[in-house]
Amino acid sequence: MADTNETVLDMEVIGALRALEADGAPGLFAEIVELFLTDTPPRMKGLEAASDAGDMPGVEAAAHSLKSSCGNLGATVLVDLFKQIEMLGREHAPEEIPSLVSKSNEEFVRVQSALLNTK
Amino acid sequence: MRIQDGNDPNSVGEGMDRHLARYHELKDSGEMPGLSLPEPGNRVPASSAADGKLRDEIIVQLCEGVADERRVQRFREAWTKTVEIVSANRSGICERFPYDEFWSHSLACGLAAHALSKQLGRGNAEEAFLCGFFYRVGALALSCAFPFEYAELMELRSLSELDELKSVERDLFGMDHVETSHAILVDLRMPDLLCATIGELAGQADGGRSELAYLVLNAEKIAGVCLLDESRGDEEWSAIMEMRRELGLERAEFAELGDAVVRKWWEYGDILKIHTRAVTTFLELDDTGITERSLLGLSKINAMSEYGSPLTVLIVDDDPTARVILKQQLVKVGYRVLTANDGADALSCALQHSPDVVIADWMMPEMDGLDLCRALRRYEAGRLLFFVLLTGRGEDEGIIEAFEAGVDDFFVKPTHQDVLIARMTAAKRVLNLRRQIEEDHRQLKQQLCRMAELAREAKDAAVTDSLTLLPNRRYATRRLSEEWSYSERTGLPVSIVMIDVDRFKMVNDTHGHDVGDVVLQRVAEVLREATRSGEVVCRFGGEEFIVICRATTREDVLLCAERLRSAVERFVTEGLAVSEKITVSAGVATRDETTGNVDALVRAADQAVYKAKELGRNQVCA
Repeated sequence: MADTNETVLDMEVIGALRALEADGAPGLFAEIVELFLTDTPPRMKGLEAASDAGDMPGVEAAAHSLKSSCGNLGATVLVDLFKQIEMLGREHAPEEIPSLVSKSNEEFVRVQSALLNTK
Repeated sequence: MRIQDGNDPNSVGEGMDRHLARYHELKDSGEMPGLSLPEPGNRVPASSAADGKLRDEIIVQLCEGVADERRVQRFREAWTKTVEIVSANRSGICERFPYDEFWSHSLACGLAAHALSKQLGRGNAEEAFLCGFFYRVGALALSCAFPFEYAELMELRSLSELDELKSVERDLFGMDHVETSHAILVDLRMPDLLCATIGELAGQADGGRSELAYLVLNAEKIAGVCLLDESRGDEEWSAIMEMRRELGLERAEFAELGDAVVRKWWEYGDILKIHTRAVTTFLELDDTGITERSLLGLSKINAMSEYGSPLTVLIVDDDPTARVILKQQLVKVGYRVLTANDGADALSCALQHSPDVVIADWMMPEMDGLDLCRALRRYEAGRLLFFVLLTGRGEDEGIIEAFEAGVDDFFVKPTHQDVLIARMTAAKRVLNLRRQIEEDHRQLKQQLCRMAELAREAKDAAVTDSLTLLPNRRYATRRLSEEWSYSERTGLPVSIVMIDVDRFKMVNDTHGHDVGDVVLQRVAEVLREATRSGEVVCRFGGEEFIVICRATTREDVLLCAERLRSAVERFVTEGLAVSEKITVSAGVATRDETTGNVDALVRAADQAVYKAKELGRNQVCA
């Protein structure tokens, strides 16, 4: 289990978040994880919808914000995926986006279970 | 004031009840309770939903771990009254009584009692809080009931020395302030245990104190640190260390407890709008009581502004996770943190709370970080603050545009704690320099103004309004009488337009005076542009402008007034950060043979403005 977590989540980032909690903010880590897990799926739906509609500026903006919120939790693979999608959106190259979007959906499931395991 | 004719306990019942009888005597004569108490059944609602939520949050925190619902309910009721009492008594009529400092001390004492109760496992913590909070409330009541006498007492002793005033209070008022606290709490039907504890503290008996009374007395020593200024000597610290040993607490435990109290004090102070300040810390105390004092640990120094209070940081990000993380990173080193989830929210928050630093995400829907920065820089409150843009790694394309928009620095997301602190230190340095320069400028400007004023005063003509740079009322009055004579000589008509900004008070109340000033400047600008030759626009007062129109008939002045009104309607709101449309009401008047003098002409125009307002504003009346 630990092995999987390491590839999905950057444990250094997770450690830094836990350190914040140790500084007089009990429950903060759980709160952050919960925020992330509730906030992200709707944003990902939004990205998918923009991609389906061929709205490239929409894809770019949604992928950009997802990239940075995944960065907060150290979800490195997701960050890379959204980075690629953002670039494709900027270059108006819609062809590869759907496959990357479905990859990101699968990766999110992994991130979710990894986060719940670290809780 | 009547002085009680003797302290013989037998004259008013026995022992402990003497002060209760005295209280009712004073209440019947209208002198007590002195402070404003909430009427039973007349609840003051929290000023906003967010406020109410924050206050509920305090209840949850103070009752943490309390399983008994009735206890929570009892505290909730007492807490509601507490909030009402604080908001109704933030100031009072006794000139020398330090009202702000008093509440600040009460809050610290309550929190210290709460923390001690938890740490030692003695008493109910939420009840300890109330006892600490209300221990000295009688002093406030006495200061309101007997303002002159109490002002004299405050000359003699400070808030931390109130105990030494008790016997004088009994001589002067027939009861001391702790007895008064007790009587008021009973009168307010506060929880029994609270009343009993303060009653016990009011009594002279020294032996066999209850747990709560014991907590309150020790809590006050801890709270004393919050009021302590740097000039106070080491003996007070020795006393506190003595207490620590008596309580059987380890040094580290005690320091942690003390610093936790201070952090809560800041946090709740913000919510309840009770004044707090940076304090000396417990962290560096040593066992001998001789101290190497520091400000709440070394890292805390980072958060303090030149003025000694923690810097306020406003975080703006539409990503909630990022907000929570950044907030905690800053809070843990002592910054005060506000948050907003979009640009518009941030703008109004910044104008209201004047943060020292704004950290905003670049990419946000609607108003992005750059727009926010540009908007803020237009206002007095936003000109000096330190503005930081958050950006992803390797995204520095628009960096030049950003610096041109007034951004001071970039943080790359996610921000590492050490880097964040280092950059905030740099920010603080810049802020201090900037304030210094601003202060120098202000003084220089003041001197220049003073000289210009002197020069103008010499000519007896200070004729420019400093805010709008329009001619001022003095000029308008002089010009009006010149135009009046000109009209008399030549037989040509003269007219005036009075213009008043609609709902200006509301703009001021909602957005603050900074915004109000900008609105007036914009209106002045538009009016100046829309006037033609032969028309001179002046600021007549507050939000009132006058346009004097030479050789203008009644028909023509109506057209002129409409031209100005519509210009304001179309152009003023543009570029202002106010959601409501800015409009004006205008009234016109023309001199004819029935108009007696200049004053009558102005009055006629004023009445026409009044009519325009009555008819629904944003229009012209004659």
